[in-house]
Amino acid sequence: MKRILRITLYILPLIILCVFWELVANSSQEFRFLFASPSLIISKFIEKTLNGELIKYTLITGYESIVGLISGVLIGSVIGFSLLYSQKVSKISKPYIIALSSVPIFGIAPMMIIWFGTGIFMKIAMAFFSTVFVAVFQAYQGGQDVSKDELDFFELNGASNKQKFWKLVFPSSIDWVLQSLRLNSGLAILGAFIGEFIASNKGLGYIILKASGLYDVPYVLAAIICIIILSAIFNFLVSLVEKNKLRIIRSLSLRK
Amino acid sequence: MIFKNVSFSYNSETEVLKNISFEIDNKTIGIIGKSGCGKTTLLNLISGLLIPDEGKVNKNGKDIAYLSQKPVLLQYRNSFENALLGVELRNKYNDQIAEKLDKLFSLFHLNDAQKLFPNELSGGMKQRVGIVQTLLIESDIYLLDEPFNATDRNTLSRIEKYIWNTFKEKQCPAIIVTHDIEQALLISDRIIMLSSNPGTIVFDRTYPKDFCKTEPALRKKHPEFNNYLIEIVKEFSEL
Repeated sequence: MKRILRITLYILPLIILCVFWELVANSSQEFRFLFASPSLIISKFIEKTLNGELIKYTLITGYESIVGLISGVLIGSVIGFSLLYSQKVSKISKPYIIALSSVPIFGIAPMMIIWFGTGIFMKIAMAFFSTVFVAVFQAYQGGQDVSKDELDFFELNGASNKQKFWKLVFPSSIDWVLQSLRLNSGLAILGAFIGEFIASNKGLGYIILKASGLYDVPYVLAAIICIIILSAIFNFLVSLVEKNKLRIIRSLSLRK
Repeated sequence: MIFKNVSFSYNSETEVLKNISFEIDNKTIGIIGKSGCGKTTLLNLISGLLIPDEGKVNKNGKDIAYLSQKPVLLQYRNSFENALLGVELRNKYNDQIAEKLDKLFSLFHLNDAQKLFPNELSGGMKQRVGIVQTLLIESDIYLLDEPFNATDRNTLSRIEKYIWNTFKEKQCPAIIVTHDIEQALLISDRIIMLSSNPGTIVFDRTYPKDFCKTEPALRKKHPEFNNYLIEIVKEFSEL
């Protein structure tokens, strides 16, 4: 009973908003043209899902985002962790990383077309560059989070660099890496989306650009619902990884 | 291993240890002194974790096993795995170690804690896992910082006896820091007392062979025990 009440409380604001939106849209044609209405959006969503267009384009955006996300977090984390092994290199590279991470991805998007073309690889690269710098930072900070007592213990027992990394640095900074995965899951979708927005003939960014050009507001909003669903799926996947954190650490750290 | 005129300070204003000289022989040495007098700093200097400002610590290439006040137990490892951490890092794991581990876990009343992770252990259990972790390591010198902290009375005498026996059999130096004077006397062959601000050696006594051969549980009945204890307490009260 309590659960039903809680779920109702969660959905209630959405229902109220939709009812209010629908009522206003029905009473004003101008409003309906500018903002559509929930019923129009839903019918467009169903229509475009049934003809496969939305599913196909969501999968494309999802693919670009996830490949960009995984490669960005993986490569970024490797760079972040390797910076830990040389104080000099990390000191020198820190301002560069800060400078690079502050470059807005929108700013370099036109260059991406020149560098990577207009195909799917450009969108993956956009997702990659949106995520890699955060991942570098998170891994570097996480690695610095290692307790001094633990590091001293490893030193005293003659641990190799490999042992130090897999048994100490990696487990200690896994929370930072997971946080980077969570932060970056949104950024990866945004990166891929911007890529599609700029030059593409498929993906949710393309749909939104095309539909808004045709003043097809219901389709634009239906595509935005797909982005929200995509984002929720990414969040769910990250939670799954978080739930299995201990198992992941143990499988990677105990046998090395 | 020799400690010669060693001085150390964390910052240039306050000197923690001043002009400490002593030779570490194959005995169990109990280091006592008031809280904050530099006992842990001394162990850190011996282990090489700290470098003295003045003087020399000559390790002669000896290997050291160090149990810090807060044992290093990694969160993702259960007690069994944490106990093996030191051995594992040294790549010295073998069947004998596994046997010894089993023996120590039951001796230290840790059988129920084998599969538990550090956040599921009590303070005393963590301490005992730390002791097992250190004793499993084959080393030239053992440094134990407050090893009996948070250990309940029932297990304490077993641990004391085991540690005492181990160091007697190994014939290797062991340095045990403790705040408990009586405990230090029960387990040590030699007592070193540090004064505070700055820490200097104010008392260094090696006890006769017959006293050192007496195991901890029987030491209190040794005819000289009370005299030794009074002597230390007297010195301690003057600190």
